[in-house]
Amino acid sequence: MDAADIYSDLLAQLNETLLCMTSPEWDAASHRGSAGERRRALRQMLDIQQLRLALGNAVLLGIMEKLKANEADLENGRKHLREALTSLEQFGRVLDTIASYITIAGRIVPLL
Amino acid sequence: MRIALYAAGLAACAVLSGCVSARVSQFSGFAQAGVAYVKASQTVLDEAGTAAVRNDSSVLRATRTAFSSDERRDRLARSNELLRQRLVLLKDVGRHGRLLQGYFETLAAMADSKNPEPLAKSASGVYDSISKLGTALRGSSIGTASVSSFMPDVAAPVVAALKVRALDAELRARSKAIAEELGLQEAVFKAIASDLRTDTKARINLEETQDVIAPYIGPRELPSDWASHREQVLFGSGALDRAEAASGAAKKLRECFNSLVQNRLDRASLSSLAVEINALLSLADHLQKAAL
Repeated sequence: MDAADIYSDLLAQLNETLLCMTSPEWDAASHRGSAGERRRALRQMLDIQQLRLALGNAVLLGIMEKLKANEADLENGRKHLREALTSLEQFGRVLDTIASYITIAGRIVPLL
Repeated sequence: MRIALYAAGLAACAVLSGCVSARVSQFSGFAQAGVAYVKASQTVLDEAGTAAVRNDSSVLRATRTAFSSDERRDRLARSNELLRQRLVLLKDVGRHGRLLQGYFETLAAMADSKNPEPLAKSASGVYDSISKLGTALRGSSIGTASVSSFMPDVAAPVVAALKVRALDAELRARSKAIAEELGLQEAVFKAIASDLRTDTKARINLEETQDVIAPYIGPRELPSDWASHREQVLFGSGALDRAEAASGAAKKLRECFNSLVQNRLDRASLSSLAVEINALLSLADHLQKAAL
């Protein structure tokens, strides 16, 4: 894939994840989880929102090399995340998968 | 505003059929359509900026309790910085559109002028500004994908000979480049539409959870505005289906520009452009309602 495609996939995945994490279904799953999981979920929601804003503002040329260097991890992470978001039953594991994806995406643009 | 712009589109069509000089009328009709397009697209750009800020505020509000006071300060500062950058980008898209409008108005003036040479210099200057801004926008992303990945393939329009030499030379030199800049508007609005959809949907999701579901399942009495919140959430989603209108008008404008250059711009083309511009305004209307 070229850098523009990796970029588009990453941004599309962040958007999809934000929509899932703001949904009523997510809220219900989060309330079934522990207080610690709820807190973790909220922190991740803001991470995802700020990553999508940062990537959305980025100039493709400036992050092209980082995208290519992390292509395999991004693709793998995306695949796992898509699978994880289809069922929110094991909420803690979904949060683990999101955390991994945030770490990989954070290599392209820093969170803070 | 929608009715006024639609009327402007029809007036342009009427000018075309007046035929004192059909060719001059084509340029004037197209320039009027360009003004209407820029006005309508600016409304959508404003709404896109508002949607981005509102969604970010909703996420910050929903997640606030999960952060310490110091973290909140850092996170809010980061969000503000990112949103400021986004708003500058949207402003540049608007400026790019206004420069194109100025270029089309200059072409119309050249078509109707006995001394078009000074206007040709002005057109060249406006084009330089369009090109400079366009180069910067091509490298940007605005949300879901890089703008360049949305760029349509643009073929060089075949220029039909014109009596006004300066105008003929201008179109032969730059019609392809201008068609590409219109393609850029189309690509930018596709990216904006996609981003707008996510921002609006995420905000509506959070409002549904916080203002509709939580009070309803909770033990307290429902607040008096609960039903109106619910209506707002349910009707707000309607705007999402219309987001594509943003790039439809830009695409039609590019097609009309090609017809103009080839001396094929007719009443039907301008009418369908007016329809697309109205769709753009309708999108803005819906977004405003969704944001109430």
